[in-house]
Amino acid sequence: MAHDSQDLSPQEAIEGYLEALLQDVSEYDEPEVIAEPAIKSHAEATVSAGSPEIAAGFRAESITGDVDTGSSETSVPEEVPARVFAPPSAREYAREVAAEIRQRHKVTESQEPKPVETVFQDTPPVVMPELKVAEPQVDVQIAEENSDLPTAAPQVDVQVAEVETREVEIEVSEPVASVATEVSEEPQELDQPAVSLESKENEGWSNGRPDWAQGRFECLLFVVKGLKLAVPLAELGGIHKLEKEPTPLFGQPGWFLGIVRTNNMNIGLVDTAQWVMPEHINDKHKPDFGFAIRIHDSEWGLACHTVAEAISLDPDEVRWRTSLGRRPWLAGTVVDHMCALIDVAAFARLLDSDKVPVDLQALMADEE
Amino acid sequence: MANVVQAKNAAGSDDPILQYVTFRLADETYGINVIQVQEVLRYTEIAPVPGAPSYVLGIINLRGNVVTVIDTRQRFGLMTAETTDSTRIVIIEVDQQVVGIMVDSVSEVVYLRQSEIETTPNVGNEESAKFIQGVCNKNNQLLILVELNKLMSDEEWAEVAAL
Repeated sequence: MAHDSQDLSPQEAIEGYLEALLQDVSEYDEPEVIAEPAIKSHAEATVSAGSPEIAAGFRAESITGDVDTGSSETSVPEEVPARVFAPPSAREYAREVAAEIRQRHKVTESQEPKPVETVFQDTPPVVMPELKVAEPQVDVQIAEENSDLPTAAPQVDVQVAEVETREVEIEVSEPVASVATEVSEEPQELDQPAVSLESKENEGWSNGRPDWAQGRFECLLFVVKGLKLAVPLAELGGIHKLEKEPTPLFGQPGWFLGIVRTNNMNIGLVDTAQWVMPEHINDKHKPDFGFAIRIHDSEWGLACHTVAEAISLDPDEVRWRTSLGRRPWLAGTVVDHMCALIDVAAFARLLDSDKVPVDLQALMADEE
Repeated sequence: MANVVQAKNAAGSDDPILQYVTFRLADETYGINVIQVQEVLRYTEIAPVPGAPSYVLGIINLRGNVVTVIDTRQRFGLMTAETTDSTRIVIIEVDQQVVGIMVDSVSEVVYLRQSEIETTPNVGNEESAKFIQGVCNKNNQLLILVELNKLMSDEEWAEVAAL
């Protein structure tokens, strides 16, 4: 090869060199175009669009390289490396340019997406406040707590109301006191001469008091039309709640309310109010009783509105009756509790006897 | 029916089973012995009789026979009421006399043991208080049994027969 180049004329050598150079250029350009079309096109577009100086430098350098290689006419072996190294320089430059373009592209991409990223980064904070909508839920929970607190307050009020109702119950006892004062006056009337209901002696009494009251005894308090009465537990048959109306029997006096069926037995229900306070009974009187107090060993029951507590009494606390009078059912009065103590056995004997009055009001009117 | 009653009576002769026809009057249920009941009629026109006692509503024609109808409400001392579609006239036979008693309605025939009949406190001085034979708790309901023989006195029966 070196021997052949020495035989060539300088003009032929130059022409051969130019042809080889053209072939090399074509050989080196084509792979780059094929290998990196996107980068090249992108680089050319970038160069042509954004950096004309780089394009001018790229062209000038390639031209100077061509001139330089063309100016070295002394030896072909020196020109071959020059011819060989020329394309790599362009390639390296192109790679550098492509790298710069890539960096700039990355920079531009990094700059351009940044706003997007910041937007996306900003949007989560935007979304977060939306998630912070849960804060109102917290407020709502606080509101619930607050709502719970007021609800707890009425419970306290209800307890206060219960206390108030107890006070009302105490107040209810006040009219009983006034009525009891009337009862306390009655023993004076009991000393008066006998009436048709009077019997000759007190059955079941000894030492001026009933047999069940020889010692300390228990009593059950109940209320009839506001009047507090007491019955000894020793003569108490039972307490029955009146869940339905008693069955009336025709031809019976008004104080006989009818028959109540309870605990497999019939109880003759007595309107206690007509017996203990006939003077307060008028046409507006409604026997709306709630309980029946059954007399022991008897089929009679005393109707009452409410049943109160049981108390323990000492015989000395009772002002015992001295005679039967017109109220043989009255055993005495208890001043401390402002109530009348009923002689239940005498009441039952009166109801079972044929001396039982039919019209109690007429009886009281005749006596007065 | 008679065989059934006989069989039940034979089962406990000490405690015979009785049949009572129940009827309603002023929201209460009453019973009369079925032996004294001849028939039950729907309410028909009752011809008033001038000069009759207050407890007599009038007379009706029962298949050619004149039957006196008694106002049961008035007899029992209850408030008067208007007749309805349920009103019935129960034809009864007492002391060989046939009369009719007007009731609000007729319910059924019930079987009662003699031991189930309980006496009632009788504290009333009225004559009507004597009509009550006793009470019986049947189907959680108090049944008032009426003794028809005491529904009227002998003088009253004679007065009714003279109508």
